[in-house]
Amino acid sequence: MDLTSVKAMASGSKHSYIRKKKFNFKKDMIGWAIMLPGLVLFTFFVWKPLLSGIILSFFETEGFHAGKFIGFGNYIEALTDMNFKKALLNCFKYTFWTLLLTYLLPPFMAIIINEMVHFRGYFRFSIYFPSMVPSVAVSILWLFLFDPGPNGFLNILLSYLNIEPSGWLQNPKLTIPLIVLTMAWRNFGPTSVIYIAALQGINNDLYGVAAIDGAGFLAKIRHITLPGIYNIMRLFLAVQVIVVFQVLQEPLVLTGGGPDNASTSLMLQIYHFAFRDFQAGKAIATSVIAFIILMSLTLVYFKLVKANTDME
Amino acid sequence: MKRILVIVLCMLLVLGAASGCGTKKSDTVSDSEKATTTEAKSDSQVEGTEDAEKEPEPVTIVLGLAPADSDEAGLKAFNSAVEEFTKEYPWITVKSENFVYDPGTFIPKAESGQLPNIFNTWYTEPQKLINAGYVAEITEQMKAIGWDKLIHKNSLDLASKDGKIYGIPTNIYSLGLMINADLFAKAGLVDERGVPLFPKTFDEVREYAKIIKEKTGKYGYCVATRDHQGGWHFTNIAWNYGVEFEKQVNGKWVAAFNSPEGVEALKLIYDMKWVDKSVQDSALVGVGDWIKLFGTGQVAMVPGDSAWAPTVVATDYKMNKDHIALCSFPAGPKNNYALMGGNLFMFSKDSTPAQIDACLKFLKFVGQGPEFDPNSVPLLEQAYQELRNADPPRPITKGFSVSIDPELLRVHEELFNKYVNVNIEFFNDYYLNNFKNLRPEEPYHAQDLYGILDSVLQRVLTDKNVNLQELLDKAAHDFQVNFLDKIN
Amino acid sequence: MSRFSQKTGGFIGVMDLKRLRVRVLYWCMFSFLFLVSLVLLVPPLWIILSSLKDVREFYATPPSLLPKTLQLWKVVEVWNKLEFLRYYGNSFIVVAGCVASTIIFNGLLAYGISRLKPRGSKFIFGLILASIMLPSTVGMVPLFKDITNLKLMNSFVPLWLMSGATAFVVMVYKNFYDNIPSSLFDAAEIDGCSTFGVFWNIVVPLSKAINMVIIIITVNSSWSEFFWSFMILREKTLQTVMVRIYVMSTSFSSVGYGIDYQLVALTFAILPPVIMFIFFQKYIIQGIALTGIKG
Repeated sequence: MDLTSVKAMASGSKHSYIRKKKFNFKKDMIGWAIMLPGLVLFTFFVWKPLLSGIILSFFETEGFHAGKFIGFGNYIEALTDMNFKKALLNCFKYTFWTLLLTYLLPPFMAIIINEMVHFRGYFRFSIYFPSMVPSVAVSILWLFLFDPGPNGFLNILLSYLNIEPSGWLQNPKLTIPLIVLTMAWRNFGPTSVIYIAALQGINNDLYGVAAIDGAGFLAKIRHITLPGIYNIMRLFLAVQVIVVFQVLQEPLVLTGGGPDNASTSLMLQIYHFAFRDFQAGKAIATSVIAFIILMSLTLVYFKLVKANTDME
Repeated sequence: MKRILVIVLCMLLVLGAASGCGTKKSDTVSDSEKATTTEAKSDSQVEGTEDAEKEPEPVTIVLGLAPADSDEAGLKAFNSAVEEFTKEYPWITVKSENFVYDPGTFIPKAESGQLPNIFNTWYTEPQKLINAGYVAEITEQMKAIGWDKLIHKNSLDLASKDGKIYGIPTNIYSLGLMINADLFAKAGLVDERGVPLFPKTFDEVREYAKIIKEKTGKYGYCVATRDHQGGWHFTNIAWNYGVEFEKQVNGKWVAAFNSPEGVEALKLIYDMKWVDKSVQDSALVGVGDWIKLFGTGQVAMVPGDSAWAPTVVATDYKMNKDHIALCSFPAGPKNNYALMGGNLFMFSKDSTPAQIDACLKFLKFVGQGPEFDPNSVPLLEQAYQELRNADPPRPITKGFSVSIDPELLRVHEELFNKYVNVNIEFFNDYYLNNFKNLRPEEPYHAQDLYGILDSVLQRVLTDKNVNLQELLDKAAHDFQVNFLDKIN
Repeated sequence: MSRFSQKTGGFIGVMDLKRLRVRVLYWCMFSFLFLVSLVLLVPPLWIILSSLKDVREFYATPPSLLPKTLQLWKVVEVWNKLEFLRYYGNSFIVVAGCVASTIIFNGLLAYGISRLKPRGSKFIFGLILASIMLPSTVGMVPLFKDITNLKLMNSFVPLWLMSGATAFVVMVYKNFYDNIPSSLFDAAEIDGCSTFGVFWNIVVPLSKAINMVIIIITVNSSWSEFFWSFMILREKTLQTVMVRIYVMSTSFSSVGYGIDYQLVALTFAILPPVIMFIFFQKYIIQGIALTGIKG
């Protein structure tokens, strides 16, 4: 068996998707019946509230209730807000650093953990542990470590190395990468566990067969391991960009968007508009603008992925 | 397979039932609620015009005034007060909760009618709450018992709109300068009786801060920069330097703080940070942060008022109450203003007149209203004792009532003198001088102005090469275009 | 080194491990993982242990690495004062319901989208995907209004059902179902299995591992969720551990709890999910092993 056929086995299912195109009313009904409970819940808890929110963005708002219809008035307000450009740009910075730090680490760690025969349970636990620590404790922790004074924890460590104390989160150049780092540290767990589960699902015989064929480690990783988690990586790329684009909690707690708006995000602006300034209309309009940007990014991404898969 | 089907079916039934009867129920409930509202209205009118002693309708109120669970003693005192109150007014049923005015949860609660009937908030909020329609008008009820005439007019105006009253101001504070007397003593900045030398001007603040940094190694002065605290403090400093933030020119409002005076005020902060190095290292300091810096003895001076003193002792840092001193807000080259603030009670929009009446009765009963009630004296004494007996003991500081009822003011003063547990000389400068030249916040978009000033201050504290004039020009431009132009 | 001989799977085979170079590589990877695990475990443990210091030492600058004071009585005091047992109970009820609801509703929905594909299901998936791109702030207030209008306050039901609409879980399930080889389904259909038969006899047994992953993630997220619990469970007797902790941290009362107390409480709060993780994670592996079908 050569490597191409191993690869085909690994990515297995994709080929046998061809279904009967015949419309089958009964089957459709069964499908909808199975999906119905979930759809009801999504409608009540997600779609209907979001829709009522969106509708609100076309009205003058007093608190969270509608006044006069003003068309795109709130959208113009949102787009011309003095911090909009900066917040949008920051969101792309957050995304960039996330792709660099958060996205690739979990599959990498999962692959290594999967090779371990010692302490495997311990490693899985340690990777998951930070995500179980409540955010209150985590923010105390980071503020401690990143204290900008000469008596801050990391600065004390730097002083042993004769390095000038750093402003850490308060250095406008470092603030976004550091916030992303704290997010990576914390959100590592769930994604890694999913990768580990996926790696467990790879047919072990494939490795054996490949070994007999004389494939090296890198070849095995490239042709067996990675295809086994390719689907999840593809999904998580989209999910993580979507999640980080809406980053709120971390800058809210760690920097409040500062210094001088260096770490503010669209979501933080939205949060302030909605809950501090009582400007629901402007908040939702900004949300919808963020949504449109994300949606276009996602569509382009899926188009690219699809083109890529079709070419193979 | 059967099981799944059964589960699915059950789910559908439950959901259908829930949404079906749910809507129905809520309809009928709101109908009956409307009914009681109208009844109550006619009832209170009767009460107001004819005879108040007629058999009143039963009413239930939710007080958002209970202390937190952790405050066992306070909670006990509160519950006993409620018990006494319901004995006196058997037709009033009282429910209570510990209501925290938290922006993240306030709006959902307000929108869905989950607010308590009465809750506490502060002077920056009422206009926002009134505009959003989240609070009830109480003009009629206030007038019926004459409270509208017992409250200082300036304060009542802050809780009113278009001549209608929406809130009951309770106390007033003015921004002063909190001082760590221990650090002042260590730096030798005390007189022969051990009272800190209070800085009278910002030049002295700068000088003392430098001395403290040199002598003790601790920060002399804390510049707040986050959560609108920074802008709030800075407006007061800038006023005293002669800055006008919002100026009317030919009938239009203009952001005028990029003036030479504004640069001078900002230069003070810049010099303390980069020349004297006497302010804190962090450029992101919100409420929690400056309390922490002050409470742990890291900083000697920070703008604050008398209400903060007990908090600093009570919070995690357990500061010694005898190390706290408070003086009036330092003067600048031009003025000597002190920023005014305060607390007030407001009522949820769904409160019926009968409920508002009942709440007012409760306030009077516990001595929180502007009118003196002899019943309230034991309760107030109990509250003072709790503070004295707490571990560690809280400093007893004077609040300034907005009431003009002479009897109430006399009794409050007496009680304060009876229970005060700190060296009064540490606070007298504030009590005696800081209320002479009060100034309310800027009239328009004050909070947005603070947000912009926060960023300015953050920039000054992080960028040594910053051009102050350009920085202020941009800030003034932003404020003009984004906010002031919209009201012109 | 008998452990090496038990190795199954992974790109390093049993035979490879007999070579010295591979062993060196293995131990390098091991050391790397060990270092990473320290970075992940030590800081939070340090901050949690710091809560046993006197609060003044907690905030001392520079911070002390090893506590100079130790106040173990705080642990007992916090346990007693906060009546943890009672709130643990409520939290368990919430978590159990959320887990059931997450798996059943999201799982079925994903199955429909991935396998049954009735006409229009692509659109539904698009809607689900789109809903995570809109900040939840947008729908928060309208949703809370609906919940109060339906008189669902002070009930666990909305919390349970809410987790039955978790877009992320639907996507993970869909991804999983997409990758089950179609040959399995075709075989079952030829055997004359009905749609439900296929689901029950093939999909459910195959889903054990993915279910465990979802359980672990849901336990954690629903255990630590406090916003909706705080808004909906107004009666103190119904509140969950996280709501109590949230209330504790936000009460700006002059006699509130210190940060040290809060951290001790947080330690109690994370014990159950930690224990559950240790318990369930074994099944991620076993779940796969049990199905007997791999890849």
